[in-house]
Amino acid sequence: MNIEFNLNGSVQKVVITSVERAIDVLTRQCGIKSLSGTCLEGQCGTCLILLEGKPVYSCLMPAFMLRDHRVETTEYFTKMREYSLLNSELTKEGSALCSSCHNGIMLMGMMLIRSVPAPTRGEILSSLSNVHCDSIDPDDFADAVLKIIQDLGIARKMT
Amino acid sequence: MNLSEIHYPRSLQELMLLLEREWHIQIVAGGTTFGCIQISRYLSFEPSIVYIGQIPELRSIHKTERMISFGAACTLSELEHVYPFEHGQARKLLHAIGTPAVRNIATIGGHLMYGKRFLSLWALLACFDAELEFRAFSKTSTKNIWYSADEMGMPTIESGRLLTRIRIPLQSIDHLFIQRIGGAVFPDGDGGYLVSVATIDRRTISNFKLVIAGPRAYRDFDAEQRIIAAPYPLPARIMQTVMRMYAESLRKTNFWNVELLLPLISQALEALQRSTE
Repeated sequence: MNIEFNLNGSVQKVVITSVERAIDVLTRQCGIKSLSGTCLEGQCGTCLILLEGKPVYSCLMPAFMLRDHRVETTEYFTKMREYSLLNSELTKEGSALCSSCHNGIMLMGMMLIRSVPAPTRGEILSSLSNVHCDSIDPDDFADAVLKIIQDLGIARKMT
Repeated sequence: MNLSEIHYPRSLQELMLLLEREWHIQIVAGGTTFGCIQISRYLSFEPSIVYIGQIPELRSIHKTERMISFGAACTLSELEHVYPFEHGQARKLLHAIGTPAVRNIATIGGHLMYGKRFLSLWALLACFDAELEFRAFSKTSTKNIWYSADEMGMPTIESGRLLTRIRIPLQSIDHLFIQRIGGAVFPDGDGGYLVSVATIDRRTISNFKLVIAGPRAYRDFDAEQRIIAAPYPLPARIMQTVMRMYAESLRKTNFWNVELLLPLISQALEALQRSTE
């Protein structure tokens, strides 16, 4: 069947069947490259997307549930200034993001920076529970996110 | 690989008409149960499925002076800041279910209608006297959540009815004890939760419930009645009588591990003794 949904700011028309998972439609039909989704159980966190601005595992979602929803993947954020700031801040903190957790970590970071007005340290650490990766120090991640939010806040006030 | 026909009703009325027409239709709300259990790349459903996640009547939360009511398609995340999950321990229990990414699509209706066993929130909602509203085409019925367990304590789900809302009477809570027991809770396993709730009113216990739910559900109404209306703190003789009653009724079930559960019940009662009005 044909469905429409908003992917990364533009309308996507795809043909889906009941047996497909959302991750398969996003990677095969929509050309999303940031998702891998190896576990199919919502365990690894490599298939994270934002559905209506909230993180969900696209491997757990049947594709038909995408209809009429707003979906964002890491691709949506890559050209944004905050994205490169976060990336460089995390590298500065010594957290070399491994390729499998890169999508999830950056997506969580961008969600916190762009959508949550003033995330607490607890909220930031809790968002990391969606991503199952040992290569990042949660405190480094929280420091990086808080620093960017603070810097951007100062920059916004000054303009 | 069998393909299914997918329906997207936009209102409860449209959904009810569909359910009337197609008896064997499979209801999907958050879909996490299917996604988690089916580990093959392709999902499998009944020949006809209906996605109910976009029906406004099933997504709303209403609060009155006496009760809170939430639609069965509300996600577990949406319930985080409403009664009874605004209570620290209850929220901690909610947070023990999956990760935020799971709770953002898993629905309370799917959680309660799992059917194979009782999932994490069932015991808590039973202690809070939650009422489940079901709809069949022409009639609406309501029943206390406790009665979705049969006499043996096994989950029962009647076909042909749709869980539409969950209602919880608002009450003041002076004691809430939550203890995880056993192993895994989802998708199967021997794990579960022991929950007890009490209200103390002018040094008298005016409400007390203790529910254990996992593969089966357990509750001793007689023991609860022995505690209700008793003075607070509970006198030693009532504590002893109640513990004897629990030991006896647990043994009668021929299912629960009495040696494991009695100390936990005792802990729950000790926690009640330490509660403040």
